[in-house]
Amino acid sequence: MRGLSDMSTLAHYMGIQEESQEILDVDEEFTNGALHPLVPSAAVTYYYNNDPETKAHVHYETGM
Amino acid sequence: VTDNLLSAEKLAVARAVFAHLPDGSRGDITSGVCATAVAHCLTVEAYRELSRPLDGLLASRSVCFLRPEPPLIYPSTDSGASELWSQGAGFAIQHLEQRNAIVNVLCGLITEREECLVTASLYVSRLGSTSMSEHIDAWDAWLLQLVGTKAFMLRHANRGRLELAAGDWVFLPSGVPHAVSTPSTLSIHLSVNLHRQRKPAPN
Repeated sequence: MRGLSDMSTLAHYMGIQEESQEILDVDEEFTNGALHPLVPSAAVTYYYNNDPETKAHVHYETGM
Repeated sequence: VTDNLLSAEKLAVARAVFAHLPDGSRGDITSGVCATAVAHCLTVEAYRELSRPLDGLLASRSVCFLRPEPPLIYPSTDSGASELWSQGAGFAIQHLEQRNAIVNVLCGLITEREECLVTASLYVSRLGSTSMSEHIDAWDAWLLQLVGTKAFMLRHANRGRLELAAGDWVFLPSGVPHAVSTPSTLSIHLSVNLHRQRKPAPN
């Protein structure tokens, strides 16, 4: 499995990958406990219900 | 670290964003300035989404590039996306409410109040980017500028050109013809879309 740093991202193509990473390094992502019941959120739920080490890969490689 | 709970602080931000949303029932174009903390929080989320692995976004047709004609292009490969960006096309990440937790909560709060389907898109462009020609959206849009500036050319009796800087918002009712341009090096704005005629489709 590829590491996240090996993956293509829009930030990479935009040339802001480093800046983005600096921002995200100090800001944790939400988890799914309080997702709103009126909004379809299969992608977010799927993302967070998977192993934290692989969730990004599972989530995005399935295209959800 | 995942604790399966939104932090109280961030949930408060989602509610603060919601509190900014004007009453759009009269169909007026309104504008204002967001609290700094709100704009900052959503800017972080914008960078988070731009840092997602691209392949899944492409596979689910969640990224479209914007050009005058045809207006929307959905690339299927990394190289296709890269080429469109290098050609100067701006892009949008669609259905952010299904991908980002804070946007999910925000859209849910608006759905509760407005009783209609609410979606969100993130628009990214740079100086000289191409975009759609003048067009009309079928939904009310609450647009919050997060990074840089964006100019909106509105064809409306009371408003003409409107330029949003980071932290500014405008509520644009459906049916107002508009075109956009990017005066700054980089522009990112969030569009929260209220589909008045469509009922929510909950999980």
